Amino acid sequence: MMRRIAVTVVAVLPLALALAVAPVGAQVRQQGSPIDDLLDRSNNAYNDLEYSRADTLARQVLALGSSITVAQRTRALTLVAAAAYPDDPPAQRRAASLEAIRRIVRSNLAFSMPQELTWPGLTALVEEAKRTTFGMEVNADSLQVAVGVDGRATIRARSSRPGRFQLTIGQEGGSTLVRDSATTGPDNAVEFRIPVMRNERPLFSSARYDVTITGIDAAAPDTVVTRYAVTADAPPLAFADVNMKMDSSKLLAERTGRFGYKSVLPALLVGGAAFALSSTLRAEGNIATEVGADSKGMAVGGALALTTIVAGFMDRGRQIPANIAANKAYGEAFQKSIADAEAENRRRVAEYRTTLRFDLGVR
Amino acid sequence: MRALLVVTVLALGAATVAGAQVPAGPEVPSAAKPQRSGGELRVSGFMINGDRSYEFFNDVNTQTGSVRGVDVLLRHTAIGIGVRSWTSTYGTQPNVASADARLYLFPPVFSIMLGAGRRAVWSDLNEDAPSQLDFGLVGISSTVAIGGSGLRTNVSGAMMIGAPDAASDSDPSAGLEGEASILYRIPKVPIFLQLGYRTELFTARNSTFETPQEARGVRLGAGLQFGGR
Repeated sequence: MMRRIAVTVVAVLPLALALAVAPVGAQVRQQGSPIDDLLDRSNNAYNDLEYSRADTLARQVLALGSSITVAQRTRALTLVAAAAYPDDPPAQRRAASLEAIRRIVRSNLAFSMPQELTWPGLTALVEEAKRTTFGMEVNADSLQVAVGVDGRATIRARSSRPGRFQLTIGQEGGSTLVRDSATTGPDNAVEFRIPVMRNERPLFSSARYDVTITGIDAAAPDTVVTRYAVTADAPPLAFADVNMKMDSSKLLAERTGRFGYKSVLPALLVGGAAFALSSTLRAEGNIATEVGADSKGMAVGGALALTTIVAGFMDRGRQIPANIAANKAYGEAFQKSIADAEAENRRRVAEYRTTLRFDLGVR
Repeated sequence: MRALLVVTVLALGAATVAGAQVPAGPEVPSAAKPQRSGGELRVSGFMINGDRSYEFFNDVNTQTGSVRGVDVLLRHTAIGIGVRSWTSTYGTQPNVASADARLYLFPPVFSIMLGAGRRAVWSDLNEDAPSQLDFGLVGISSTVAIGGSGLRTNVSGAMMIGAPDAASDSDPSAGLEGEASILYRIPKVPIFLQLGYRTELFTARNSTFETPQEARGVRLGAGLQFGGR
């Protein structure tokens, strides 16, 4: 046992060193990478009927975990399954092969063994694995552009049996931006339509997010969790200022000042004139001496004077049409500025673009 | 070419932002004068309740009665014309009817009146052949608007001089009239009300007698008014 571990360590060590000095992400997924070399060597060992060595090499690839692509993982598991269940009964380890195939079909419902590795017994094992395993397959267009508040990105999920799906999108260690769930339909499929704006504000910022989809078997307590990466290109959405309150201090006076004390002089004139007309302005001859002054004149004069003064103090001033027109134009311009700003903001929202790049090859 | 493209994009962006800018404030008009109407048309009916005294051969007779008439005024800023017609009835005294036309010069706040009219006097004795007198008049009038309240004060006075009698060497008939009133125009409707006091002195003369008269009373009026605010 110790010897086997030592052999494994020695075999993986050069590969591990190679991966350590280079960025793991994209480079290791390129054609001709050390991982592909390792898988080729495993495949060659299988062809040379060295099933144990083929299994060992394939498991070394699987031991790299999240550093390998989906395709590399599938190929490694395929080799493990084939090496564990060759058309050679003494070398067959059915349970190990079935376990490897189940790991594949949990996320690849259309999986079939490559022609050069399979044989009827292994093909039957694949069918058994599919029949007895709850699997889930996720796909999405790698580049999706969602525009405006109604823009949506789409992720489709399909399971091997009826079930329920949960989807979350968030940054690692951050809060969840999108959370959704759905139950599969008649075709065991679900389509998630992911919003990119909420309350007319961008949901995403330009960053990398994790997409986690969990499939839950409706018939058994079994779940499948897959994680993908999505890179969002979402520039900040700047809004034009909408100033809803008009500065009333800038409005021009629409009336002159009240007449007020200026009414006293005309009041005295009109009142005094009425009094004078009734008492002072008299006819010639005997009339002035025989007919007295008219007492109604004083009452009328007083009423005229008082009414004039009251009117002067109740006066609200004369309207100034030019200022009224200027204020009205200002109000209309202000309302138009609000409407323009709101229209501009609606346009910016409607034209806002969020670009999402799904990397379904990385988990 | 690239620079041109950048400049164009910036200009378009600036234009977009400019469209949403808040105006700094109302544009101050070059002439912000209070509202005034240049012209005025006033048509009214009036009634003067009071008494009239006249002296005939040192005998003074005073009766209570009223004057009823119509008044039409049409004026612009510095000129106007007015027409007035009235009839008075005071108990058993002879009835008097008068009609005159006046020309107003200068603004309402201070106008000079020039005019002419005809006065007729009759009683039961000469109902079909009233004695008539043509006269000219000159006077002043002042109308002051009390801000935008709709109230105006009016004070006027005029001197009337009758046409000389060629057959007599006596002085011509003459008189004075004076009036003080306030006019209130009801907001939003072209109707005005008038309250005032009027006194008219008139001395009729001929070769044989002289009859001073004095009529005075409270004037009430109402009518249509267009403009004149």
